[in-house]
Amino acid sequence: MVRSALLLLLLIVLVALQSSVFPYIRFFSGQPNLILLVVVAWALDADWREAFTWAFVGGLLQDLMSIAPLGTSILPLVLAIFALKLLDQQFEGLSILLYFVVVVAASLLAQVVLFVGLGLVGYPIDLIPTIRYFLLPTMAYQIALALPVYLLVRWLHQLTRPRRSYGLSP
Amino acid sequence: MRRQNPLVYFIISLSLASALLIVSLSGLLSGVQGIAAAPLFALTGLFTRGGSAVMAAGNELYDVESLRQRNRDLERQLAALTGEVVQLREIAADYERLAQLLNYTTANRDMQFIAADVLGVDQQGLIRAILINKGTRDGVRAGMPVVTELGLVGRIFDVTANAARVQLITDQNSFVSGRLQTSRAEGSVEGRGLLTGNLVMRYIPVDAPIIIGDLVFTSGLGGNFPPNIVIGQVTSRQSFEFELSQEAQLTSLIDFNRLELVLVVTNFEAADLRLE
Repeated sequence: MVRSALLLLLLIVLVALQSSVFPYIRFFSGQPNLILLVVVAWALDADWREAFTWAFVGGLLQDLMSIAPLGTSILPLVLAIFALKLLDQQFEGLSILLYFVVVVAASLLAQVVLFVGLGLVGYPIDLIPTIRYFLLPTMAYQIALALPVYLLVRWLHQLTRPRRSYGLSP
Repeated sequence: MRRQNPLVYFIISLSLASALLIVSLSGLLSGVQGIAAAPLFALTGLFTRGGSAVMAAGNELYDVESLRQRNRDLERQLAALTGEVVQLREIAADYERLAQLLNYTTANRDMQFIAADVLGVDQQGLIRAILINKGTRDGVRAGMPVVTELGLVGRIFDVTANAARVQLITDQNSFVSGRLQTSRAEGSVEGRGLLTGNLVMRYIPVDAPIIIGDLVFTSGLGGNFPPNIVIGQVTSRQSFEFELSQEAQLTSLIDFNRLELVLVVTNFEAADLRLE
């Protein structure tokens, strides 16, 4: 319960930060998508149900604060989590490497889905400048922040992991 | 313990997300979305104010360091500039007279405004849009122009009960019909948000003179914005051989990164040319 509340609070704060403080640190038009990084990192140590739940919640929070239609950020997160969990089952012990691969792939996918979603609401995208000034700087941010976010989320995981009690309860 | 079936969770999540996307595109969720986003808007507003305060404090610290150097530079420049002061006073007097001729104040009395606080900016760096704390309850409607005392900010793109999203004129999908102050030549002012946050005015007739420093106003053509609102100032021009038009780079007088308060023009209805 505490674990869920803590993660929800973290995601809400990150979404608010992405709309208020992060624009000040934009590199060209790119800015970090910390929700994606946190959700993917959290999924590594979570079971399937928990991983998908947070992918859904994280994406929904992002979409509530954007012109893009609801679901635009959820879809890539759900696909990313599915890929991550499948790969994690296949290549056990390579979780950090998988995390990086999935972060890069999911960040790219998130941008592509965003372009399509915006196109559907009548917001056409000029592809070449978008790739140059938005997609590439965003990817640079994602790669640069992937490791710090991974370490932070691992620490949070360990902090909030339910402990098994071996003593006799009174 | 029952084994989890990953495929079931995946299909449920994917179906929910797709359903949400389809319903959202149909516009049925806009009311619910507004209510659900209200606490997030409030929190973002708090962070924005906090962020602005931190930025201001940081800028002040930086200013102290740079002021010493700047002071020395300014003393050197002072001697050179003294001669220009007389000339500038003449220009200032001209400006006063022109302002009276334009009767700008009278023109603005025709407009009705609602002041709104800026809560934050759009989540996606691709989009140049801001969130404001006024919505349909305050009479704000989609398409209404948004201004400050320095000129045009953008137009209402999307509105909920108590908040609205404003597409800035620097957005790559923003197109405003503009008119050069001196030559009265017209063109289309487009946002270059992805690159620099500046503007470009295209399709200026090839024979129209473009003066650096000239102001560009809304022309009112197309019916999307009222006429005579400042859009920006010409910083450079470009003409191409064999082209039928030329273009000018503009800079808005507004610092879009430090917007805190804007005015929504509530008595202007944008022309809707869609066929019923």
